[in-house]
Amino acid sequence: MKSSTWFQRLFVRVMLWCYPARFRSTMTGDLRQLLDDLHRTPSFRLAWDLATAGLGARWDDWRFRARTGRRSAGRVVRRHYTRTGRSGVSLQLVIADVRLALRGLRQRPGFTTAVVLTLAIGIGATTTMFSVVDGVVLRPLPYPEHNRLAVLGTTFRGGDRLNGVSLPNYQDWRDQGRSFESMGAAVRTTAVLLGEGDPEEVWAAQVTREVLELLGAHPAAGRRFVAEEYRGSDAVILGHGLWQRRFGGDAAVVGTHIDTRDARYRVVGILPATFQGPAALSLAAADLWFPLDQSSEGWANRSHRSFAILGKLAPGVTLSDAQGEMAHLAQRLADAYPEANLGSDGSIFGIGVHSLQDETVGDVRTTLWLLLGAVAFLLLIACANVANLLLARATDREREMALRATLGAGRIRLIHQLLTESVVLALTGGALGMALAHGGLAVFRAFSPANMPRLEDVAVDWRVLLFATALSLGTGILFGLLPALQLSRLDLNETLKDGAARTSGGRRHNAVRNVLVVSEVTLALVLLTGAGLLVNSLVRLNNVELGFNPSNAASMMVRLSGEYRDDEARVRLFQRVIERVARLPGVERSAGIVNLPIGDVYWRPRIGIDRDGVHSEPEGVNTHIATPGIFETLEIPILQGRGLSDRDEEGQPLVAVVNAAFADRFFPEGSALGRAIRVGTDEPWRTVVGIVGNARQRRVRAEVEPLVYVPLTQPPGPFPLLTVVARTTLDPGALLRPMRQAVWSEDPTLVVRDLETLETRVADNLIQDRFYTLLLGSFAAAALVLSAIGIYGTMSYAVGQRVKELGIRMALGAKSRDILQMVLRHAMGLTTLGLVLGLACSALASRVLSSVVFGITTTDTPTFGAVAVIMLAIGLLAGWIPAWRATRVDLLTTLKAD
Amino acid sequence: MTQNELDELVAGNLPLKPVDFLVLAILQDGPRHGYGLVQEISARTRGQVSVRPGDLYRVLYRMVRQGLVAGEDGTDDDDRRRDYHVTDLGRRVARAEAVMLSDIIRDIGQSADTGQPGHAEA
Repeated sequence: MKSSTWFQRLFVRVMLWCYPARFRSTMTGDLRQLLDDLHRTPSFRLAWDLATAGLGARWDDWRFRARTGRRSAGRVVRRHYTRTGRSGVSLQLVIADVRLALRGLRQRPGFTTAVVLTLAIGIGATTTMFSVVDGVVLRPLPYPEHNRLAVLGTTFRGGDRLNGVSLPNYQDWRDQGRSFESMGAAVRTTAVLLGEGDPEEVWAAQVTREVLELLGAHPAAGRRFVAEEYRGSDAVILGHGLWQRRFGGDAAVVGTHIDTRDARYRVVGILPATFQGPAALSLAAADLWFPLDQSSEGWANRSHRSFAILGKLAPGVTLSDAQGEMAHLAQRLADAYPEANLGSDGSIFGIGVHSLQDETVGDVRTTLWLLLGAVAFLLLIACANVANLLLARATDREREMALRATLGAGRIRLIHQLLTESVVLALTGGALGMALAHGGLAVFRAFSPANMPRLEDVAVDWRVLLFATALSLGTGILFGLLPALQLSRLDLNETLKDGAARTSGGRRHNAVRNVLVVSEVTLALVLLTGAGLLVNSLVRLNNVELGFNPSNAASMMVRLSGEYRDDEARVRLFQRVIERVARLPGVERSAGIVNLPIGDVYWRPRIGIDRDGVHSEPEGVNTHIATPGIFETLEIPILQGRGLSDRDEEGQPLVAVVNAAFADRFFPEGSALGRAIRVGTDEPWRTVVGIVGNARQRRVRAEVEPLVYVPLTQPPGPFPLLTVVARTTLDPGALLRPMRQAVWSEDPTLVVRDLETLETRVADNLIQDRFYTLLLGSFAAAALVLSAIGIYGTMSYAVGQRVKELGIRMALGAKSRDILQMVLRHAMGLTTLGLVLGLACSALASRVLSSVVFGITTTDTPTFGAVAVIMLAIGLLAGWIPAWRATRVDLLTTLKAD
Repeated sequence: MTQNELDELVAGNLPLKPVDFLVLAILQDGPRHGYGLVQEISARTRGQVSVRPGDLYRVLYRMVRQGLVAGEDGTDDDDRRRDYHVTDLGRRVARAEAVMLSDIIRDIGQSADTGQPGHAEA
């Protein structure tokens, strides 16, 4: 035995340091002798080899301890294996199982992460949509006995839509309708607040005594109106929002006066933060509440139909009872007052009764349920994926389960343990899903269209928590039961004996897994098709020929105050504002129009046509009141004749310009130029002097419709508002402030609204379409990813199971290509089956989108084709990776694998 | 230790890694020191498998921790080599692994004879 050199001793010491301390004494001698055996001084290679292995051993050590909490296996038997064979389920057992499950899941971080993330996506998306549906549709309205509240309105020609009601009719309904305990009338108005800061136009409500009672509006400070205040007074109640915003939440404002442009009012009360007017009466945004003055002129005019009616059904009376009674009443009123309650075609004006809840939620209900349905698909896909993962893991655990069964664990006991594991997984996923839902809601609120009612009621609260928990538990049991049942039914002898049993059990598993994958693809395809249809529609909407040029243009609505009662003064003011705007830097031209294309304001008088002396009044046509230069400013092409000009003054021959759709509809036999039309019965006749291109009215997705343009000055109309449009060579966004300033330098009390670029205006008009497309699109993307993971997982697992067979096939001369084809054929088989089923389901399911799609049918072939191609590509990709890996199998690894 | 507990311990260590199996097989014939194992592994596999000494120490350390092998107790002489021997548990595990492998090999023989995989679908 040679004595070591100092260098060798140092080397051994350093190398030993790399290994766990407990091992050093055992290997010191070995290491020293090793250097002698190798007959050489330590090389760098040897040092590297020893050092990395030593650190590796430390790593093993650390992992072992992290996993088991022990330093070595020793004689200790993992206790849980033998814990109770009885089938009873006690709390201790649950705790023990939960602990066992947690440990098991920690040991497989990859598996756990995959399952938890998949579930989090499914549960998170579902919970988000549920919170929205719950807040908007399901949650009761915040009014006392809301189930008995109903909205009443006039219906025309047997329609279902509720229109305004005249006050005399309301009085008859209230006094004669026995189905109702109480009935009130309300109307939305506006008021312009003066005082500190810019003049601000706010929504206001005028209501009868019954309305505030029915809504349970108790002022948080001050009082309600007293009886004499309903007979005409200056009393006003402030909404909470306005009170906070404009009066800093100061309760001392009660009893003081506030100024609006029309009058001075005395504040008698402030509504609580929890109170909001019903959207069904258009009062959701009302900030000022006035008593509906009994001296108001509306009480005398039976044709002045602009009031909304809120009623409370008498106890025990159903909505249809009330509808039946009101139908008779409508008949009586039509007999008594035919001039006000009969249509021009002789049809009776009906009385519609809708529940307040239905009327509030309206069309959004369908859309939201639809989205919730879509998201449920996503959840199902996630569940299928998780079940797949658990099945794969179950197969790997057959031996463990069999062993535990041998050791006396009963079947129930095993199922209990496995279910506990799934539920722990699901709850973890659920918790993460809740966090996702919280973020998801923020996104939903940020992107959701403005017309979504009750969005402020949407929140993650205990109802949503309950839903998410139930959902998590439900999914946990649903996807955990299948593998649990399968595992608990194992043939113990076969499984324990050798590895062969592990593969024979696979046949059954594989059938289940294949079914799961096919359903995933089917479900994902339905979502994908829905999203595809919406994307296709959105592209078409974005490419719609608007008929005017929205780029480099800005607009604002100017609302006049009561001072401008004189028509002449009003027109002069508008002209001065337009001139001021036209002089702003960068502005090429400026013009005014009462109802801008893609706007909310519209006027639809009955049009009169003079066809060679024969007069007809075919229908109502949207009519624009505009100033000269409007076509040039909006860049609406003039097709024939001329546009509006400065010569079309009051006193000059009356003119009108029509669009091409109007000319085609009403003068199909020849040119409309020079023909006589009139806007409104009893109005003077005008000559058509020009035909312009079709511009979209109100909504981008609306059909092109006939339009008439008349000059603002012929005659100066009673319209108290005008939208001023400016076309600029500079950035239109930079024009907004100067435009408002131009109005205020004319009159600082004027209200300016809807100040925006035309491009924003058009984009906002599509916000709903974009929103639903975004939502369904992200569901579909998630579904696609999940099903790709499903295909990939199943194929990987199948390849893993067949690795022996594949290895032998390769050894016997099978080419890589054959193996690749074999595996891919399996993957594509599943994908194609899912594809065919999915396309069939989509063709049926996409019908629900018929009101949403634009320019295509719900079975649009290109969309279905594109979707099929995407799905096939995903299937191919997800199958390719395991297939490629299968070709890398060699016999030696195969043998080592078991 | 009951028979059940022992069974469970055996099963818990299955399947063995190839190197573990080789180490156990060699130690069945008598105790050996670390470097001796390196050489014997190479010899028994006709040079097909060669283990680097460092890796072998890592494997040995793990197997000691698992209770499959045990090292000779320490003495004062730091220069003397310590032998490793197989434990009772190690012996049982090695036997169980051998049975399993022989079943697999028999399976492969059958598959190869018929040219059919044991399970048709994947």
